[in-house]
Amino acid sequence: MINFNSIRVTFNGLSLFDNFSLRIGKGQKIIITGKSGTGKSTLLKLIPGLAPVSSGSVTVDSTVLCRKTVHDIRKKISYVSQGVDIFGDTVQSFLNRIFTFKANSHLKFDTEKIKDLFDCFELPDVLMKRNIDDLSGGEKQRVALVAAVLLERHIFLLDEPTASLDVHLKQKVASYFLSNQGWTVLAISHDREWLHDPSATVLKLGEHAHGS
Amino acid sequence: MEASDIPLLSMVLCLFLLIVPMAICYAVGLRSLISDTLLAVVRMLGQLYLVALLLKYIFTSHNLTLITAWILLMIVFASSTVVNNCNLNLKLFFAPVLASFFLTLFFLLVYLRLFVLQEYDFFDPRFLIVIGGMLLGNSLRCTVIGLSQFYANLKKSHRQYLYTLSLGATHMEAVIPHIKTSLSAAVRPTIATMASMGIVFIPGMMTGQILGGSNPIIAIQYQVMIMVSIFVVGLLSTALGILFSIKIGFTPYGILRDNIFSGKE
Repeated sequence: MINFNSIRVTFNGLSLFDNFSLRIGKGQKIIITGKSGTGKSTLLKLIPGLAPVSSGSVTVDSTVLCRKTVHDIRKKISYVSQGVDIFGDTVQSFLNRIFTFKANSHLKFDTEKIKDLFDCFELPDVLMKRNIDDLSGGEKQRVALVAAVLLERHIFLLDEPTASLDVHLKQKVASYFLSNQGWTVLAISHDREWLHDPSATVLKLGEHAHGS
Repeated sequence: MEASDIPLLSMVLCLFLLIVPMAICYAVGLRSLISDTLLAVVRMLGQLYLVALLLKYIFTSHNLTLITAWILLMIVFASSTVVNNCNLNLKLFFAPVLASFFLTLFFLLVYLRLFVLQEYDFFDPRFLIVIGGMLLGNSLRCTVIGLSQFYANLKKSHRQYLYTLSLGATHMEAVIPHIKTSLSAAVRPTIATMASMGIVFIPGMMTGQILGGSNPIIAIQYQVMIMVSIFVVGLLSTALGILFSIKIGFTPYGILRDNIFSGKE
């Protein structure tokens, strides 16, 4: 499903990955952990082409990532970034905007489904009208997760998705994503709720990731 | 009635006015501002007198090559000024900005000649150089604001921009909000100027024409024509500058290139 084929990645002159290979099968749940600066976030960004590889290749569903395929590959992936970069004035306007993109035009803005997801992630309905700048870090994270699910894609790239949540919500979010057998999940996390889940395979990145 | 000549002594007395701000700068310890002002005044005097001499020659000679070369030189100078003031990489951005200025100015001058100022010959230097220069000077200000804001905003919110791409936005869908913000910032000063014209201030061109002996009604007609043209040329040159530079400013994956800034911020 997702393959890193002998990739080499450098950042600011430093080698983050050198001859690194990894094969992730459909439905697999990979939890990436490791020290800061080992390239965890970069590894996730390589898949939708949000960070460049110096050599080697990345394939998603047998399609090699390149300038011609990058948009199609992005349409298969739900990515939640570490900094929770949701945008717009209100939560409603953020979610609305996602549905205006041509790539998502086949999706319906389903208020019932949004309500269900809000309930599932313990977000109050009134949050829809709230200004994004007024949300807490945890609320932003959960709104980004709701958006990721609404896109109805099957590959989830989650960068520290529960870092700002309490233990109860960490558990809830982790089991939501890890229990769905049809979803392929790559999550960066240091939380035990992800790392100790029986369905998860833990990938620990070293100081420099060389061939694996 | 023609504008009366200002004698040399009067010009010197006019420059004497600068003593007041210089004294204030000296008193509050702004020594660098004094030298900067003096240098700017000397440059202005030299440049304007040189231009006046050249214009006088061009107006009398009607040399077509010289007129064309002059307008092209203005476009080249304006393009490099914009790119440098935006702190963008001159090598990368010079060509798209040049193309945007050239096309916008060409369109506006042809339109004005065909439909508004029909009595002028297209290559009349009073039309091509004076009107063209005024339009170019004002669109330069708009383009600096618009282009610098576009790339500065994208750099500042680059993570948010990448997230937008990951949500399925095409490159154009992801940059459209930034284009809107930049265009708005670029033309807002012109809109404010248009709205306050005649009440808050009497514009320079109109003042010049009235002092030069023109009927105020005619001066107003020219002023309206110039303001509308400035607005159109400002918006168009900014929009085209951004659109033409997009292919250069981003990688084929839609990521902002890291060598687009000149590094002298």
